[in-house]
Amino acid sequence: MTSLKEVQSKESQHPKQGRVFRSKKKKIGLDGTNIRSAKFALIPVFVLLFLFLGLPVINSIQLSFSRWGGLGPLEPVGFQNYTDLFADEQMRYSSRITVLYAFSVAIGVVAIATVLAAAVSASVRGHKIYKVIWFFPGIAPPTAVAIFWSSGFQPETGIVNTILGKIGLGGDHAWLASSETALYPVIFVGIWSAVGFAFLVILGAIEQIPISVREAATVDGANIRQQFFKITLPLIRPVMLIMLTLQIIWTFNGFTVVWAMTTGGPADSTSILPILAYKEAFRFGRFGTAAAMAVIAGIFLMIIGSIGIRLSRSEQR
Amino acid sequence: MKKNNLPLSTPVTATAAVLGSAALLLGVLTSAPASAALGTAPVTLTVQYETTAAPEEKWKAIAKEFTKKYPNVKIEFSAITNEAKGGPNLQVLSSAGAPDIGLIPLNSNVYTQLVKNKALVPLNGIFAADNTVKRIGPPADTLKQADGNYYAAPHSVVFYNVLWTNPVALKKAGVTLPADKHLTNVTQLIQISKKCEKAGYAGLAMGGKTNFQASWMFDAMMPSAVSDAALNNYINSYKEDEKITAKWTDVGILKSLKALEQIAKGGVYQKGYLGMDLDQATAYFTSGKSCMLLGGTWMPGGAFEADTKAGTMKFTPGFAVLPSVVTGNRSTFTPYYGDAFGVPTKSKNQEWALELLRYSVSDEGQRIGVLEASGNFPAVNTVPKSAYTKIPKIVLDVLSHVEEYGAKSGWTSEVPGAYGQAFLNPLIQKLQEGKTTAAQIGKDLQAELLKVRKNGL
Repeated sequence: MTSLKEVQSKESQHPKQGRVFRSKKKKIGLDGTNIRSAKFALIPVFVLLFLFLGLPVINSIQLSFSRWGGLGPLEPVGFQNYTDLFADEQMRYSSRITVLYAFSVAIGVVAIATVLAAAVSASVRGHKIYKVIWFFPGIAPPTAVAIFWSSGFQPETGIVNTILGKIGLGGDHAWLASSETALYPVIFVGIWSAVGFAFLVILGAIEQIPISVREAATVDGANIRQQFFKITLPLIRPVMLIMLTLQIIWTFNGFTVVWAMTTGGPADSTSILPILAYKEAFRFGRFGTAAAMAVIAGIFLMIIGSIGIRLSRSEQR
Repeated sequence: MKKNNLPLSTPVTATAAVLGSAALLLGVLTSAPASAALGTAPVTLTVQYETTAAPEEKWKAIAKEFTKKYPNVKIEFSAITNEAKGGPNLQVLSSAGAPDIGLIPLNSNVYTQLVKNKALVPLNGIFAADNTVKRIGPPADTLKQADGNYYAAPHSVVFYNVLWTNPVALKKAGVTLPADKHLTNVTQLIQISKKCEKAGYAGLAMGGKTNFQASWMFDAMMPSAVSDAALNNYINSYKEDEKITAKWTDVGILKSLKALEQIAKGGVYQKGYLGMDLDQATAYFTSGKSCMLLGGTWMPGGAFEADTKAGTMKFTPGFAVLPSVVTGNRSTFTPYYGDAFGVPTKSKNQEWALELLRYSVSDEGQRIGVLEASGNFPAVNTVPKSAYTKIPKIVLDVLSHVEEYGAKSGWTSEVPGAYGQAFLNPLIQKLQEGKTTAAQIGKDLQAELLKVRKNGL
């Protein structure tokens, strides 16, 4: 293996390669030949990425500057789709509720998953069975989940209303039938179905905390609550941040649960951006506007993703 | 000029006859009957159908007879969902893997785009060979495109906006329906619903969540509040070359919209209707929880029969007609010819596909596939009534009612969905929630009409 000194020596002999070797890569001992090999080996990956990611993205961007009904040639319209969208009240409303939906679900998922993971990690009674039960919603098909809860929230006959009725809170709430309340059951179902996966990830992070840290805290007199807030939470924060970021992105792009529960209604009150884009494309034949929505949403999510990764890295340091 | 008034038995008007004759002549000139090009080489045709029981049975029955006539033909089926047929199916029908016969709702963007981009094979030849335009009657006018071609063949007709009733519930509520089945006015509908509620039933079950039922009632009420000429104009004025003679802000439209608002505010529907789809509303009715259900003629042979067999429907339904919004006028049931079939230009077996489609709209195909296998009404008027043996009695009663009182076209089932149903439904939902007004919807519709005429669909 090439030593660090040898690398530095070669760097001085080959000034053009020096720029490369000044990066951190020199620490893993790659010489010029290895880098060329590595670049060559990466070509298939870049080709695949270009084919399956790059081309669709380029196509979507091109489409967002065009008028297209789903068939035939694209008709360039410049920024028209974007200016139409920024002037559209429904787009502004959908953007707001999409952000509300994504952040509510993500925060709810991470918060509940953390509490459940901490409880299982603390070996509460029945923790082994809870580990399985809490993961079940995560493996249920989203459509089945949405149909189940769509029935569950029906007035009089739904299970939620039946339970509320039995405890004296009224059994005829029609949450899904009002544009004021329809988003809340959707957020609830979003959390319910996603919490299982986050629970497992966060449980894994908690169980990575060295036992000696806890033992030291116990010796110092910290109770369980103090251990949770002062030791567990700070140590798993990078994982929580990544989970939060991923959950925001997944929920933001979610379609199935909302579509199956409300089809975006009543009166477009739960038309989050993916549903609005679907309707624009397939109901109204305005694929250009739908693509512009996708581009705007994509840029927003890239910003969210970058912030999440940056925060997580700074926490890890 | 389009004629939208049925009854089905009405003789073809002079206009329709001229148009029909022109179409026949054009058909003869543009393409010969497809059968001329048929051979005996083995061929496999793919036919799309919607994932509900009746269309599948229809095509299976037709395929069985067709393959008896042509043993070299094998027919395979490709199922699509109700949601996909009006949207994502466009990509399927225009792809290299397109089926030989595609399902094309006439009021969808799929049909608009396929016709606009010449992605369907003209049917003039097969229509001319069997006099199909005349056999379909006036509704064939709406099938004819600006280039003089026909690209889609309807397979059946259903009637929607039928108020199915639960006689047991109505009796308990002390409600007697008018002898002619027509509710007199909106107030009467509200009063009936209130009586039902007192007796422990919801008034009218409807699936407000689904994207079509909110605008159904508009389809029923609007034609009773405007003249036939105005209705024709509302249906056709989205086309750039059609002069606008009827405005969406006119009094008849506003009355119809206000009636929908009044009905919603009057507590006519079951609780939570805006969160329920049609299937849920149907189950609500068949399980005896409501006095009425907003539905159509496909239900007695479908959900009603299934629920009766399962023991959850314990009554024999009756029917009534929605009220008119103009005193002295009558609303009617609304015919729907909309789920038609066509041959994509990407079909690899176009001649055979045309022949199969021709068979499906022949009298024999209609009898075997539509009447006998799926229990719907044929799209053509030349199948004798004596063949209506498999249609449930109550559906035949609805047909008799249509023959007596007529049936008028529904706006949302005639115009492209992007301008019609998809646009109007959320607005009606807002109206039902009290978040907009009839006047505002009128203005929105008028603005949308001008936008569509300017930009196209």
